[in-house]
Amino acid sequence: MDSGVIQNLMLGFSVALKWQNFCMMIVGSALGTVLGMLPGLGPSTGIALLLPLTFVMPPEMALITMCAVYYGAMFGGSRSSILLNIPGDGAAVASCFDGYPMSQQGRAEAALAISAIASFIGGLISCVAFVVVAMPVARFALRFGPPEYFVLMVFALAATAAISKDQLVKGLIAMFIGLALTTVGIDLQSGVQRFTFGSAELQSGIDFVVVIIGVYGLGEILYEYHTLRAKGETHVQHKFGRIWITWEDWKRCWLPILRQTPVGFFIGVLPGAGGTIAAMMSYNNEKQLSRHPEEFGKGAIEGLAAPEAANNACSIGAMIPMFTLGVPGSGTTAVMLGALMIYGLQPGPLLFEHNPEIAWGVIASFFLGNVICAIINLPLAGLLVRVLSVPPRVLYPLVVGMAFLGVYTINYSASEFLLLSGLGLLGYFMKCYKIPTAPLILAIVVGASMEQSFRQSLLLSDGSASVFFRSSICNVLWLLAVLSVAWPFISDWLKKRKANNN
Amino acid sequence: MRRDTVVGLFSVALGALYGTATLRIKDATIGSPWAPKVFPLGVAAFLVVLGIVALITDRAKARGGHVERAPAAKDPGCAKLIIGTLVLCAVYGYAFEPFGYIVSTLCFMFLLLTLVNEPKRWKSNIIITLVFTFFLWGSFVYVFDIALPSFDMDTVKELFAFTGGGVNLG
Repeated sequence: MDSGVIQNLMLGFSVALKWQNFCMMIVGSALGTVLGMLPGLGPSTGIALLLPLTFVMPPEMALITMCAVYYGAMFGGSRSSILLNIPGDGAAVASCFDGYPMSQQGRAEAALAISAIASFIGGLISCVAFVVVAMPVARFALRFGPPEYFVLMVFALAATAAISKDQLVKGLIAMFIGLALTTVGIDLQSGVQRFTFGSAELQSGIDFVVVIIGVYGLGEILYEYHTLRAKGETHVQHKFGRIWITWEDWKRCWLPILRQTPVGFFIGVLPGAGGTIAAMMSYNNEKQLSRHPEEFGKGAIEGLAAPEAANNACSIGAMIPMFTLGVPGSGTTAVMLGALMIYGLQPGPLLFEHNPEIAWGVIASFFLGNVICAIINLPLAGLLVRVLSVPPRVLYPLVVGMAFLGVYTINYSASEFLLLSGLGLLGYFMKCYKIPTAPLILAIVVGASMEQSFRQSLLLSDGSASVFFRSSICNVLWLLAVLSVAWPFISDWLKKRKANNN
Repeated sequence: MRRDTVVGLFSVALGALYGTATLRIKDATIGSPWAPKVFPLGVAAFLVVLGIVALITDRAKARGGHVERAPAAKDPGCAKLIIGTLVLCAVYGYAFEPFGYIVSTLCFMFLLLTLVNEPKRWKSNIIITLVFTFFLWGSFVYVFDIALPSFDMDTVKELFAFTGGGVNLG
């Protein structure tokens, strides 16, 4: 790590430690923890709902708040997994496997403590990795021109859409629906109106925040109505002893935490593969490496520690492509990337040159936020889990109300309320028919700049498509895009071959 | 109808509609006249092709004896909740600016809570509505410094005149 990085990091800490930013970090971490706990409201929905409220803040404060919400949600997601066997979000699924049995055995305190400790260590190590990796990647990205950016976005979208063989076609359909939505409005290069159907409101295009709140927020609530009555009242333990672990527990957990953190971080950096995959992969890895695999699923504490460390490491890793390349790797980072654009910042390598106080302030907030989340999630766990007692039939109307107010603050106009309802219906349809929503969200955020890069590239080459193969960066990215689409088939074939050989 | 068949048909229909609408976009007067249409046409073509792929693969799966997993059991009243919420949202959209934040949000939240949290819990619905409306109003106005619309008699009159309602509000 060169001295420039240390200096920049110091600059970042001076920004993050300003009392206003620090206070918002605490508020964001607490809000994120609560949002992460509530089933149905993951980090993406939480950030999308809170995003409009950050418009009145300076950019660095807004980003620090959103990042705090993000890792707060990653910390909080496991609370409901441990206490209710209901994951707060997808990344907390693996925490149910051993967290809930631990809670059933009267070890809820140890489960809550190890999930916070593992998340803290995983997050902290990943922050260091982020600082080491970010600058070289950002410097490398300065070599990118419009064709490289276009192909990079193709790769990011393809990798997100092709997350599994069964979902491949539907993921790609979702991605193209997202791209179609970005073409609404006045075309920036020619001034021609596209798909506005005479509506003045549509001339400036469909705001991606409306799409995110509609598809993630409203769509999710409408889908949750399917099982609303069945959910009934939730009785959650909220009186605990000392939330801590024994020396014996620590001896079993430290190594799994340390070895699964890099796995989570690496998966986070890859576009498309999110916290759920990181957590599941680390759980399976740990089960294979464990001396007591038979205890997994029955309350093995390392079975909880490993996925918790990995999913937090993943959330920090996912910030690397967003900050350094300007390309999001997941639904949540797509929301945050969109926020960067709203604040008039250019995400990508130039962010570190033009706005170092913002870029490094946010990076420094990762470190501080992890400490704050650990503090919130250890002594205050008993208090925070009371939120889980709020019945969904009360919670959902409140979320709907918040969604509408959030949309109002985008343009200070209620004209988009109808659009929001329509997009909520689209989100509901997508959930009913098992169409993944993350590719749509990614496409809606990068779609406009993807089209601009595409057209700028063609202008550079007088309309020749060969420009998209002009450099080795382009070719490698094409290869990665093809590989990511083909990978589910290749891995399926490899599994079948292995099974046949056995 | 199988789920993936619906998705395939939806994609083909959407791609065809979107493609047709793309062809109706005016030509650009600067640079290539087709420039604003190229990207959307590519998107439309992919939507149609992917829809067809979804239909073919689903057909093949069905022929191979693949049985679709039944959807999770739904609450019998969920359609009422979904339609009711969407109708309330649309009405809220129309009422928000003319009636102002407080009046429209009080009505919207109370009706939504009555729908979702059931009418028999009317006392808690009233309390939640009041707390939600005024807490957010205070937060927006005093903490975030965001002005929320207030009741505007002229706009309400215009709205009723527009919808043809003969209500005398003057």
